[in-house]
Amino acid sequence: MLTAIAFLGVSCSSDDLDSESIITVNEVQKNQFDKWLNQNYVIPYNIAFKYRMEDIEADMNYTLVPAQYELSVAMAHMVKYLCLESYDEIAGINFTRKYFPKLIHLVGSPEYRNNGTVVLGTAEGGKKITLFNINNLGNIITSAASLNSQYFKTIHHEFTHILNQTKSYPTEFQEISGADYVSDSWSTAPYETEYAYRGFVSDYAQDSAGEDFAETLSIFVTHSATQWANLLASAVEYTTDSNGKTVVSRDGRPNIIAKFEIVYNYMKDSFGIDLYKLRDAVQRRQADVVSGKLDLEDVSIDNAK
Amino acid sequence: MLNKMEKIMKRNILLLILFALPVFMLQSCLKDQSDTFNESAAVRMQNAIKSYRAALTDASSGWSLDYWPEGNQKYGGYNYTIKFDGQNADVAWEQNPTAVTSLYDIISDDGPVLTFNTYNDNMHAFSTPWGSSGGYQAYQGDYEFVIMGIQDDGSIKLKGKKSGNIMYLRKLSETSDAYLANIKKMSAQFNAVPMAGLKSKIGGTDVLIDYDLDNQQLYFTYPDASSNSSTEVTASYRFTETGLSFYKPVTIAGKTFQNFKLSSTSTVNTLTCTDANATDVVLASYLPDDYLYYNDYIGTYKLLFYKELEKKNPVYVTVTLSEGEYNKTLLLKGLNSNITLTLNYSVGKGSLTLNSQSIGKNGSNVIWLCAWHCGGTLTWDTAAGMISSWNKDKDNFVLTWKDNAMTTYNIDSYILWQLNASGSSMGAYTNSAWNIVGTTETRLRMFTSMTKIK
Repeated sequence: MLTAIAFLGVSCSSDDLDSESIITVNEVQKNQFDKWLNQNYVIPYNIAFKYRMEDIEADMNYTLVPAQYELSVAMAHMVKYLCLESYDEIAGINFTRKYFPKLIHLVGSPEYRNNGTVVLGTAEGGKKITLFNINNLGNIITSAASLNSQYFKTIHHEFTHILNQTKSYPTEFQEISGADYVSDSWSTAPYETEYAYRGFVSDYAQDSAGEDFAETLSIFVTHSATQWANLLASAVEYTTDSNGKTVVSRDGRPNIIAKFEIVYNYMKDSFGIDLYKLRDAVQRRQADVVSGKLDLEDVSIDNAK
Repeated sequence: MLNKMEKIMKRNILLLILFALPVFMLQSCLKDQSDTFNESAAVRMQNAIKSYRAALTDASSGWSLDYWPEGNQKYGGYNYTIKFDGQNADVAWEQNPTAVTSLYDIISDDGPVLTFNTYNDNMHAFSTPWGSSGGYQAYQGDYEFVIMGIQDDGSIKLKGKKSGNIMYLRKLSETSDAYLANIKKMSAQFNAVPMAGLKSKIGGTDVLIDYDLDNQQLYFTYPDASSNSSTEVTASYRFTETGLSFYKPVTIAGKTFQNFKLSSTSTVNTLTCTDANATDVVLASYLPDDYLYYNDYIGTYKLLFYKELEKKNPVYVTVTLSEGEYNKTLLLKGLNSNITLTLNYSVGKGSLTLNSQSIGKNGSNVIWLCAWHCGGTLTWDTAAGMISSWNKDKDNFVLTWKDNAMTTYNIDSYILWQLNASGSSMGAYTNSAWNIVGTTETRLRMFTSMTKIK
């Protein structure tokens, strides 16, 4: 009997498809910056650069505010020049088109957590990078180190995760520091200060092999050759023995170098990217930004394009 | 028995439903399916957004917005002005009447949502977080507002997406500057009058009202006839051009009130309700009858304390009270040329307190005036100390001092003490250059009174 009822339930009228799509686009008037973004992000890379805060793109559990308009314009110029075009230059624009996340979302404030930590950037599923604290950009725009630690190292870091999702890195990588990963304890003593002696390029690299890989790559490309050499030199710990002689008590260099070699070969073999060349390109472009060579305000459009 | 009956009934009902089902289903085939609306939901949403956009830009002087952050309105309400064009919003508010321009949009989210989606110092004043510990949620203010509809009077009803608070955009008939200046005038006027609290008789009930000027709250307390206790009601307020207004109406003894006109003298604030059927509700500020204004304290005094716990061997020292920070602190000088004490003035009570405080340095140690229960506990807790009361006699002006009841120590005296740089006790500070005038020690035992001599 139940079956009979079920058959009866089949509809006997047919509905025509509504010619009007239910998906409509908000009729926002496009401003000059929107047009500039269309020409510089959407057309060449198919990347959406969202500078207008959208709560649905952010984590609703945190209190966040939008990015300031002028600073968003500056950020759009910098992300393009320092990140997208660095990869274009070394790997070709098709590489950037294929792998770079398709959505960049700006947030004005940092993401403060109530445990005392601050989130500077997040990446989700290889699709989206969120950059926080854009409203602080004006205070640090002349310092390459600050720009990197606040934004660009984060972008390279998150991009590395995306590349890793496309092609996993060799398992030998995680064997090098295997027992030395400390997960959440990386921000506590002694790990927060002794990471270099322990064979890591940063405190956060001690979290896990995946983070270590991304930190190694992103710190390498955002550091000059001299800074990288200094970082390696700082990985040697000296103490005085009972005879008053200075001796090396710990040396983090071999592990850092071994891991970097794997990172280097991975990028070379999987994507044809020479990290030394990428580093040089990033460094050259970075110098252009902090010296003020790059126009960070111009949103005019080249109509010939 | 009952159980069995129920089972049979249930089965019968089930059967009835089963047989009835086909009938219901067949019906759907017999009728034309017509949409309730002519247009799809998405198209209707777009049309709504279009009409709101047109409404927002159709206000030559812009809009006022009564802005209430935080779900319980615990910071009070503030007045904003906003002027919209096709792209930009010029936003000002009572704390900063200089407009700041940023982008806005109306998006479809929980219904049409008005969002200020690039940063604006004024618009985001209550939503910008400032740190991980206290400020990670800012003041829980909104910058995204669900548009609830246009009211008959042309105002636009909004609901804060985070706070859920209801707010209104109202068309301005004057400039933003003029509007905000009027608001500022009311808040300055109200806040300048010293108040112990406000009082009212509402529907025959005596009501006492405490206040918090910083967070713009009034706390009504009145006796509850039925339970022999008292009831407390909190009202969050914002200033208006003529007075102040609550977030939502308050009802006491059958009277419901929300909007007030403010009139002030230099000593009394009077709030008169302007709502229909409640115009007889009047809240008037009061001061205690032993209230003293800040300037009443300035002068020269004979200060009395004793050399001994049993109030033997009185010591009289001539001291002065002079102006510190107006309406907040007074300076007491004359106990010793090295010693200047800071007394706190309470605008609400009109009284002075002398609490534990640091008064100098000895090398890396800090010299403190510590509140002391003579012969017992001393403390450098800055809440501990004594409070003055006045004898209400202008011609024979006497302040007497007693424990301020902020600690359990029952403070009656003061003693100079040393703390090291990390705040640990280093013992009594004894130095003849710091002895209190008229004594050979650095102590004020049984601190009793101050009699004004000019």
